[in-house]
Amino acid sequence: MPTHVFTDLDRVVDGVHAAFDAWTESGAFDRALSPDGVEVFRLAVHEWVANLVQHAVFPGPTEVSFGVTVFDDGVRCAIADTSAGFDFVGTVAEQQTQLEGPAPSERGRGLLMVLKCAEDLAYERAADGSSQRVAFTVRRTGIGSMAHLFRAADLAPDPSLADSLRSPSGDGLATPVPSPADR
Amino acid sequence: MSFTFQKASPTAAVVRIGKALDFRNAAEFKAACQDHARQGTRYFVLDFSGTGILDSTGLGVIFSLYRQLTPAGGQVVFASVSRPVQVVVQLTRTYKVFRQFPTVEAALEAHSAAPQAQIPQRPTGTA
Repeated sequence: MPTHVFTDLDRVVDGVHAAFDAWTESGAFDRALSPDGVEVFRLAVHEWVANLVQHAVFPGPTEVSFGVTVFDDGVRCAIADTSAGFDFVGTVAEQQTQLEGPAPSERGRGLLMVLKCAEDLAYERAADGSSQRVAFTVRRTGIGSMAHLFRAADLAPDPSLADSLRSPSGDGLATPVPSPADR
Repeated sequence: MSFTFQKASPTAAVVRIGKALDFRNAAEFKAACQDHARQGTRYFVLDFSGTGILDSTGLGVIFSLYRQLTPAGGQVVFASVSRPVQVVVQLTRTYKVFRQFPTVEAALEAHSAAPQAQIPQRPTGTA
């Protein structure tokens, strides 16, 4: 499959999705991925490219290349660009720490999402800060869960909170929970 | 970028997401929803028919809206969920939070059939 090269950062996201649309319509992924697997692959690539568009610093001319290899039970992609790169391990750790904090931001899950979608991820950053490259595989099987990207409290809404805020007093205070000593 | 709002009742609005809700238009989506919430909308139906992209930032702002509305008895529900969005919803298990309906009409019917939340009346006047 041909490698796509972009030199305008504003066009990378739409360009990548256009490539996916064309590959999907031509059946290029049919033997490698289920329809849902294609969407997971697309999501992983989108999150990487979104991170690139939002945060990457390009010391020189911008170039982003995106290539895909299809095999029997999966696909492997490589995304290389001329940005300075970043501390991949440190950033993932920051996102994980932030996610586990008391008030996680609505942003900052992108790399974690890529890691959850992908297998065999390899990240390289040029020592002189002139380029970076990521490659990863998405297999027909092996798609798991991303539930950890949201707090358990977010995924299990506590009706008692809403109820308490609709309390007759209307003071917005939750009903106090008795302490063990009060029980 | 591509979404539109349609007021369905004094407290309900349908948001047609369009092609994408992602890092490029998430802030605009959030601001528009907050405007509608300030004007009294408590029930947001997000219409995902034809939506090809819902990324982590897009999902993050939906959660933000959910957190804003829940204390006032509001809801965010999904309708006509496309395959790409369904994959994200399944992987993140956010179906536990956001009720899904096959159509916008079904979502609005559920709202009109449900007992309306009583929003606390706060005291008025000067302290």
